[in-house]
Amino acid sequence: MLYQVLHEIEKADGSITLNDLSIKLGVDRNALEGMLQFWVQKGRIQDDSTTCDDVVCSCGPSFISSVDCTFIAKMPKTYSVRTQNEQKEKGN
Amino acid sequence: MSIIETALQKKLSFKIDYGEELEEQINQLVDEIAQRPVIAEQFPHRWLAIKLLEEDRDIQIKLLALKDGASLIKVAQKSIELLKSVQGDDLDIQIADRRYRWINQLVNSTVQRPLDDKRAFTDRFDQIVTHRYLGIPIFFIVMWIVFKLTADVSAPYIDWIDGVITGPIGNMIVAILNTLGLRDSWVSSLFVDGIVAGVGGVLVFVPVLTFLYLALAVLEDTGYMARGAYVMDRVMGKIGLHGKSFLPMLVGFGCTVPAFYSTRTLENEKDRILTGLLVPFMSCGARLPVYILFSAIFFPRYAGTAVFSMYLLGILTAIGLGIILRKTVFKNKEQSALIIELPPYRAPNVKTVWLYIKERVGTFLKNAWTIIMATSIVLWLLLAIPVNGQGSFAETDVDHSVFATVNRVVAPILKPLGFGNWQASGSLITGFLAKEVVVSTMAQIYTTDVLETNAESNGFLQEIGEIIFTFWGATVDTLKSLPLIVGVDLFEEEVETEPTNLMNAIYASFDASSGGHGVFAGLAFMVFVLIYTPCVVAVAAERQELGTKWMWVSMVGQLVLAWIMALAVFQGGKLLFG
Repeated sequence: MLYQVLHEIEKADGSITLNDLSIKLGVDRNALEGMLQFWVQKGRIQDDSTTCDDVVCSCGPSFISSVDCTFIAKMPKTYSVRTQNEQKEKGN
Repeated sequence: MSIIETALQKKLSFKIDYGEELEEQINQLVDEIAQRPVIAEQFPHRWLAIKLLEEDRDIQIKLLALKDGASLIKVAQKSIELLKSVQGDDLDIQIADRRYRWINQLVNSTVQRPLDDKRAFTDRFDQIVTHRYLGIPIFFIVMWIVFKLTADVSAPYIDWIDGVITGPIGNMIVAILNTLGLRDSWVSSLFVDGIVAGVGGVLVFVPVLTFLYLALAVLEDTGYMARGAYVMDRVMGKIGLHGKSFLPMLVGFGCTVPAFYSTRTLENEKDRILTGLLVPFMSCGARLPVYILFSAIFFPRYAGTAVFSMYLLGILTAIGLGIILRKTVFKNKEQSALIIELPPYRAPNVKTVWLYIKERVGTFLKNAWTIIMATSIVLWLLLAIPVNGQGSFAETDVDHSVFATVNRVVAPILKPLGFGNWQASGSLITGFLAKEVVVSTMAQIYTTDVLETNAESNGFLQEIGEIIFTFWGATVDTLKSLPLIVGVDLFEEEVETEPTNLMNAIYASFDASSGGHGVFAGLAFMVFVLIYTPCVVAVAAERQELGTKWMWVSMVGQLVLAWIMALAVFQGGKLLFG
């Protein structure tokens, strides 16, 4: 199941919504989030909302903001699959 | 009788099948555990065997404190090595995978979910708005409506605020200065020609930003903005940019500073630098007053479309440059996939929308009273100091000021672009501090006669009455303009705003500097403002994120590109339509 999740994401060749992934795998969205979190812990997937800096980003889910800017866009929450090079860099 | 009671009565137990090889090692470990009574008494045997194969640290620590614990861990280690030599992957992943598979099968065979209407609507609607081919045109149509709405609806309020600043408020300031015996003094000039003209010139755009933020807040709160990011992200991926590149770019539509910081979500350095170089082409909110002003001057009937086209040009420039850089300097064949969580659609919440607008307009106002006011005072000083003995301090013609003299040196570079005068070059240079300052500088340069220093206040109550009356008029005009957005003229009358002194002055100046091709010069100026170096705070953020080398590459590159694109617009316009 976990491997299927990774496989489907890579097969999407770009971006895929959590909803589409849930439909394709026939897995509930909440269960899917749990699986993604598992891969986040294993370092294969990055939870992008955790890469924000405290000064610039309010790191609540799916939110990027800055106190000094006149416009702040609320971004959707994203996860990205680490490429092999990124995994190596992270490992180092 | 509940399911749990039934299960307890029947003593149902579950056992996940972890596969032949794993099960064999689990069974061997279960036997080992059974041979160690102290451990066997304390833990369920199968559970402990699996935990040992998962190399659970807590369990290992507990076992080490027990008799025969260390030897059991050694046995488990042998099993782990054996399994790894056969299967080659982390055992804990395989165990977790089997568990998720079991849970999924159980859920699918036992749980029947009622159809969630809200979710069903979201799924159906998403099939259209995130469609592979329809998604992009829909996104651009939505953004066009946003800018059309912003420009058309806010126009009467711009006139109203302009009227209030140059009318009642200006008159009151002049009256106070006159009462203090400062009539025609340099202090009076500082207030009237400096602060009121400069800060007031920017404050008139508060309605534009308010309506823009209202539209964006509604889009964001309904959940559409996330879809917009998704469809654009797919485009980025297709042309070889990192899927996540569009997220910092979308942030850049508001402000370039957080956009630079949000490139941190890209782990690969090449992707991060490339995205950082493209981010400034996303037109930030501070550039909007320039577009609104110039659109109203040169394209009064198509102001919304003109503003939208600037945003579109920024995106297209970033995409084009991205493709070139990806194929040359930043070659990277490895692309990573992206998973985006789209929230369900919902009706916008009034409080959320209000907070969104309040926060952003509040920051804009704060900037007006700090950066713009300080710049206006410095600029007033530079405009007030004469050179070559032409007049005296604060009484010289701005044409003979220090500011004009210095900027005349730069102006010839801009001549081929159609705006080779010191007013335009000076505005672009001060715009380096903040992009709104382009407008406040022009307001100070062009409309030094914005207020009559001999004007008398009509009395406080009468002035207040005038403000309320004109506000009502602006609201009526706005309501009349709403059906016009979709091309319906319910009132059979033109809701067209009168050009202000500033607009007339800018038009005349650009027309003169371009040899009668003011429209192309105005458009070229808008393009230059879109492409050229962002403000000083953004440059500092760029240096922090990309390093000094790339900051200089970006700054110089943007200036050169701005010049080339503005040249193409002006000269091309003259050739084709002149």
